[in-house]
Amino acid sequence: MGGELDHYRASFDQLQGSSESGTWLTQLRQSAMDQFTVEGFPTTRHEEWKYTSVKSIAELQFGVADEGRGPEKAAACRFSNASRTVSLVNGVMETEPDKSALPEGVIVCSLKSALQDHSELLKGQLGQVAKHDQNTFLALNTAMISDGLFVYVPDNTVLAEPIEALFYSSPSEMPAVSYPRNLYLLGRGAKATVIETFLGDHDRRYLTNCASEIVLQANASLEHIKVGIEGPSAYHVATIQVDQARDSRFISRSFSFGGALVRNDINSNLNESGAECDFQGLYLATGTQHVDNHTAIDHRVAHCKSREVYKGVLSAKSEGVFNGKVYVRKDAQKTIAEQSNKNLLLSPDATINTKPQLEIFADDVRCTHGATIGQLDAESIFYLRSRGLSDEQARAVLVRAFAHEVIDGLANEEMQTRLGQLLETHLAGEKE
Amino acid sequence: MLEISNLHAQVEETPILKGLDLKINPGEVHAIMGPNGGGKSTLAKVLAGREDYTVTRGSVAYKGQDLLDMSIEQRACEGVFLAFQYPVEIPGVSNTYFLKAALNAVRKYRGEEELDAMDFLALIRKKLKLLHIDEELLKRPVNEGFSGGEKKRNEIFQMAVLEPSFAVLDETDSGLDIDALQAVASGVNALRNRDRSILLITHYQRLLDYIVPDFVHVLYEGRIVKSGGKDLALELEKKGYGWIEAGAAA
Repeated sequence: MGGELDHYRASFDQLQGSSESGTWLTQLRQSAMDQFTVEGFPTTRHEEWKYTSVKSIAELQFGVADEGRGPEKAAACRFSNASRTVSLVNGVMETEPDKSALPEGVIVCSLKSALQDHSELLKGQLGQVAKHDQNTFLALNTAMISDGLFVYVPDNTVLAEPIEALFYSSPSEMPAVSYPRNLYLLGRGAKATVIETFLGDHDRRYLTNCASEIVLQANASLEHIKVGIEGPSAYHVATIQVDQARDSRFISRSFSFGGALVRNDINSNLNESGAECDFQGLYLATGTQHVDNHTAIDHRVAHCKSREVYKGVLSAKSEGVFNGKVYVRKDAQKTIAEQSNKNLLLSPDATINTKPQLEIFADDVRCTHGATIGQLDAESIFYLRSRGLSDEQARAVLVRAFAHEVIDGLANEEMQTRLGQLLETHLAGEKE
Repeated sequence: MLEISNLHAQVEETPILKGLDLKINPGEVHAIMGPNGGGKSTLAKVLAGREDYTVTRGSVAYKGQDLLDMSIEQRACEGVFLAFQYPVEIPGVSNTYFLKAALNAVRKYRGEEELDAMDFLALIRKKLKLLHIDEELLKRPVNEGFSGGEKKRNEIFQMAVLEPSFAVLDETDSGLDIDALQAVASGVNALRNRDRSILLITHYQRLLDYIVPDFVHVLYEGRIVKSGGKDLALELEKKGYGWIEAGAAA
């Protein structure tokens, strides 16, 4: 076991050696590294990793990615609105975002500069929301904290325009890993949209081990859109962890199109009454892609509400995993929690393991859940063909209709269009 | 237009059509009536090409071509249209998108240029007006949440847009109140012309008060056992199917 982790330790030592010792940050990294060293990479004997084997990640010995270069501007434009996009290449921010257009008090900058300039804002938060003992990849990410995106929106401030971050992994000779670490802090009554796009436009092997921590104070509202279009040989493991105060609202939209192996953990703690979260996800997989979405919503107090809809389209020999935990604690009376996971299997060799997991300890609650796995409806195909569409066209129309629910649910029309185009590209590629 | 000879068809191992003959000339409207289980809906589905119905004997010539040899979509592109008894709900697909895809598939097959968004909308508006249908229908997902009457009207609307040569209306009147029935019937009548043939499949004579057929046939146990003019429908309404069944048994 130890041998496999040696070079992660070497990268860690190098990072720690380049930082001022004895600070809260180096202590945080150290404690996370200790955790990772003890646990190592999970095996499928671990309940949380039962259907997702990361053996190949453990064996590949990823080195820390060098600075690399960003994608051509034109390529980036296809996936984001270039004029307001912040790019991070291999986890490192290219240039600090333009501050002039931001409302007063708002901070959007690299985590690296935030660690220098806004240490007091970060100190009680970084590593405190996404606690590294909950998952070993998160522990490794925490041990390697150096850069990422930092967003701070002060009380009662509304950001009208979304903040877009493009996380690009450049091609490298040896398998490389990046550790983006993001922190989003929204004050009381603040409102923002953050879009994270993960892109690799090449077929080299690399690992993105990412974590985003989010703190929503009372009445704050965040829409978090994640778009995964990693390269075909890429590994992507990410944690998004949210702490929600009274009456706050967290909207998560997660789209997973690319990558050889993708694992997302999206977790929200509803810590005070009136907090709401709304999770929606769409995952498309083909070839031998493996996509795993784990979510956990923790209703800790009364009068909170959560809604979750995840949809998957799996073709060829792809594999999907969905695990949706909803905890309703003893005091969380009057909880409303809805969950559904619907899967379309387009090939007899595609598989899905879906597990809704509701643990309810309160007695006055309204909780529903459901999971479906199905093929395209024969009657619908007949109907479309009887109007002149070919079998192939009919199937394509039905798949799009199934997938579009999540895209159409986006508040931002421009994002709807862009994701619609991504869906088209992905489905067109599937036929080849 | 259409000539069905000695048609035998079955679902799984159960024979349903047992030697059906029917000839329809251009511009004619034929009505097929008969008791449940006689094979009315099977005939409609066989003509449209539904794959779980197997034709074991007989032939169907459509405009001189072998209809049974054509794929479902080829039939549609050649001008065969089936108005479904139970129109399918397709959530997530707007009526506009669906109609445009269908119309352009048919036009492409016929070697005509595909319509762009502007021309398509102009055409659609004309058809909406013809059938007195609200434009709001276009934005709604295909049949999702439609009432029974709305679904049937949507079928006729699709027919108006696709302009088939031969349309089969499978129990388009079932489950409609009199207002909805009149609306559907006036839509169908607006689409009648001397080149377009229509086969009405119905359980009730009532429909034929509004869409007056040239011929009426009774389908019983997989065969046409009686044919006549529109008066036959009235006779059936008065006497029921008992005398037909008795006659067929004799």
